[in-house]
Formats: sequence, C-alpha cells, structure tokens
Amino acid sequence: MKLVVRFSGLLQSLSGKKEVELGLKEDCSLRDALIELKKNVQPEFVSQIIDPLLEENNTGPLRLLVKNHRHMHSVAEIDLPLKDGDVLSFLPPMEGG
Amino acid sequence: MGLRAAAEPRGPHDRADHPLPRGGAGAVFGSKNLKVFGVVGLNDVKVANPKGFEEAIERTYTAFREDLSHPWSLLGGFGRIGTGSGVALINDKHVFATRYHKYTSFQHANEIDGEAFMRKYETRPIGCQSCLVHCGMVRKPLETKWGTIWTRGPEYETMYSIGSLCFNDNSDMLYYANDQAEKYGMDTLSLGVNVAFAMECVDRGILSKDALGEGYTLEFGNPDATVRLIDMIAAREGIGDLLAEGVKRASEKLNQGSQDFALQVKGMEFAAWMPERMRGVATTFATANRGACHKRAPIGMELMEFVPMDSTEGRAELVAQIQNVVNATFTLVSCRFAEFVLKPAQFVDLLNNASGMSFTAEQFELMGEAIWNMERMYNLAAGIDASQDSLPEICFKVPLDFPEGYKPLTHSDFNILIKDYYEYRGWDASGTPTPERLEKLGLKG
Repeated sequence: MKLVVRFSGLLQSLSGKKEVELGLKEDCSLRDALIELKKNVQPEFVSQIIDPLLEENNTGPLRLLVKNHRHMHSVAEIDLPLKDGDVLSFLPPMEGG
Repeated sequence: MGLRAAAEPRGPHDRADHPLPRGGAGAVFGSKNLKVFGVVGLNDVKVANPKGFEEAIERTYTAFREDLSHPWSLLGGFGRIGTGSGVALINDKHVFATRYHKYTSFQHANEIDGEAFMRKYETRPIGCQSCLVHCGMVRKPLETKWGTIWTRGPEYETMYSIGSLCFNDNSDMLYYANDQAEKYGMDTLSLGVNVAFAMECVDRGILSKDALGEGYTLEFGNPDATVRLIDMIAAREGIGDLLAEGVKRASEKLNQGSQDFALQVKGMEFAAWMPERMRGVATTFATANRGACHKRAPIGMELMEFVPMDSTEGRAELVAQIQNVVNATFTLVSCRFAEFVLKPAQFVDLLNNASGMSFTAEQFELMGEAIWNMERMYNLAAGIDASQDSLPEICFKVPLDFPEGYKPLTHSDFNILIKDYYEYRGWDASGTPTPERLEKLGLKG
C-alpha cells in the first residue's frame, strides 16, 4: 500500500522534503512507516523528530503529526495499522488563541 | 500615537464612524479631531523588588529559551517565518475560511502563506524590544503592478481576510493591500471581511459587479478589484462609502437578506476562524464584549484537538477561563504570544516583583473576570444585550468541503453553548451578571 507523507514549515526545512510517497506492506503500522521514513529524510529530522516519536511516552513531537486531518494524542496510536490512501502530515503546532 | 488617513474627520456628518478600525480607538481620535499625542516619561521607573524582578525576568527568558529550542515550537516558527507559519496546519485541519466560508480550506494556500512570503520575498525578522521571538517580517522593497512597497507583514490574519476569504492567491497583491491598510490606518481583518462581503453581495445579486467603475470587475479572486476597493473604502468613494461603515451597518442599509451573511458580531468583523467547525470559537465570537474577536478563544486547544472541536461539553467553562486569564494578562500590556509559553503564575511573579503587590494566580484570574464583567455591564448599559450574543445565519450553513467525521454547528448546539456560558459566568438567563457574582468580584456598589 502507499502512504503519502507531507511536511510543512520548519519541518519541511528539517526533513529536506515537501512530500514523500512510501510503498509499504499491507497492514503495516504507523511505527513501521516512520521507520521506513527515516531512509527518505535528512538525519536532523530523524534525530529530532522520528526517533523521539518512536520512544515510549514521548508525547512532545506527537503534536506535529496529523493523520487524515486529525491530530493524535496517544503514543499507542503509533502502533495502529494504516490504511491504503492515508495521508500523514508533519505540521507546526498551534497554541493559545 | 497618531491618526492615519482613514480616520480623518471629513465633514459635519462624520462622527465616530470612520472607515474600519478594529477596536475603535482611531475612530474616537477622529471624532474628537485629535491628530496625534505623545507621552514622555521624565522620571526613572522604580521597581519594588529589583533583585526579585531580575530573577523573575531570568525565569521568563529561560521559559522562552526552552520553548524556542524545540523544533516543534510555534514561536520558533513565528521567528523564522512569521505568524503565517500557521497557515499550513489551519488549512490542513479545514478551518481556513475560504471564499466567504463557502469552503474550509484553500487549494492555493501555499501561494499566500508564511512560507510563500519567505520563498518569494527577501525578508528580515524583527522583534519588539527585549523579545526573543522576532515574529515581525520586514520585506525588501518590491515593485508591483500597483506600486512600490516596503513594509512588514502580512500577518496570518491578513492571509485569511484579504487572501483566502476573498479567494485571492496573488501574494504581490496581498503584500500591497497590507501596505494600503498600513498607510490608511485600517485594520486588515475588518477591511478584508468588508471587501469579501462586497464580493459575496455581487455573487448573490445584491451589488453590481460594475460597482467599482470602468475597467474593474468586483468578484472573488480579482486582485485589481481588491486594491481598487480598498482605495475606495479609505476615500469613502462610491460603494466604498457604504463599506467604510463596516459590514453591520452596510448590511442593514443593503438589507435583502445580507444581514444573514454579514460576518460580524456586535459590529466587529470576524477574525480568521470558523465557528462552523470549532465550538469554542463559536462561543468566543458570540460572547466577546468587543465582538467577533479571536483574542480570547481556545483556538490551540481545539485546533490541536486536545478537546474535540465539535463538542459542546465543557466548552463554556474553557472559553470563560481563557477570557478571564487573557483579560488579566492584557492589564500587563503583555503580548498575547507570551501566554503561549508562560503560565499565569509566571505573569504574577513578574507583576508582584515589579510592583510590590502580592497577587496570587487565583486573584489575578479573578481580576480578569471582574474586568470581563465590568465590560459586560458597560455593554448592557449601552444597549448591547444578550440578543447580540449571536452569530450570523451563515455560520449554520455547511461549507461545501466540510470534512467527514465532524459535526457542523447547529442552532441547538449554539443554544447549549450560550446557556452553559451564562450559567458558568454566574449570569441570569438574560445574560446579566447576578448581584451575587458581582459581589464576589468586588463590583457591587
């Protein structure tokens, strides 16, 4: 299956990519996708964003991750299976009002 | 402080109704024939506890440095790209009001967002005194088809009001229009909503597409028409004279159902958020004392989905608490962005050391609530009552690209939000603060 991953703002600069399309095995999880994504982005993005995301209980960079226009708030969601056509975006956060 | 061209008195019929200020201070200047005033301090500013104040400042800077060190820092993005760095998220989350709320996202957002401006124009970030963020973006002088410009901005809210809301994807025009507003002294939010309102009126057959005169077509996505209409509003020329009154008065004069889609509350035009999508924004726009202002809304909480953006549960409490805290921090003449990093207790830390007062965080918030209630009582005395805690009918229509899995705003939901809000505030069913609540806030008598 295919997963489209988009990057925006500072995260685009950090990853060196605007968009990446990953070819993945059926029923793979977001964790599997993130591990695959490491091969496609700059080392700074891997060390500052992806590796912390894969750590247990690290909710910091989770706020950057938007799947199909929705944020995730539980690290456990990283282990849920993806569906063909899912869109993953790394977007800067918003605070306050 | 000085008065810009748009608020200049123009004749015996001008009162406090000059074109498109946001909060109205410039209009009051104009109505009093006050052109400019300055304030100069002659004595040193004394701090009650200098050592404690220095330490409080260091704690503040440490909090900012810690926040800015993260790649996911919002303020870090503001310092590199400006407030327009948020457009990508807002557009992706379908809360970027487009073509007069017909859509929730703009397919050409990446032509007018913060990144686009950094990509297209040579830029230098600037900051206010002592601030680490540097969110102001000054661009190199640029020659456009409308003239040469050299200014800062535009900010995020302008990318919405004159950009997506008007269906404009021309960044040169957006930059130029931002400069027009700067020179005329008009607020870009209210200005853009008025321009978009005129375009919507054309779509609905209420205004003529020829209203701007020969050579111009008033329509969505037309950059020449946008620039022309802004000049006409500032000069109160032709249709600009009507729109200079703001969408509330313009819609009252035009009638023909236009009040149902006039994007305003209590006479203030909408900020860049969609009540259709976010219940906290719906509550804030409807209840804010100065109108459809975004300054005291749970935007981050809803946008990041720390609370479901389409749920009424607990929303009144969340909105009221934010209104109280922000009102309190504004008494310190604090930038709204500081609150993204500092907790209320840290503002109190600075206040107490500087002034020698002994506020607790709870007392500080209570002061914000007292101010909110005083403003409410002022509004009620001025005839601005609960009937104006409302939203225009367009907010209850479903945009064409409303995302799946979310509920659009309904009248039923909105009634719950307002009822809950009055109850949480300790107001009666008519939206009047009860004597008991006023007494608790020290406002009785």
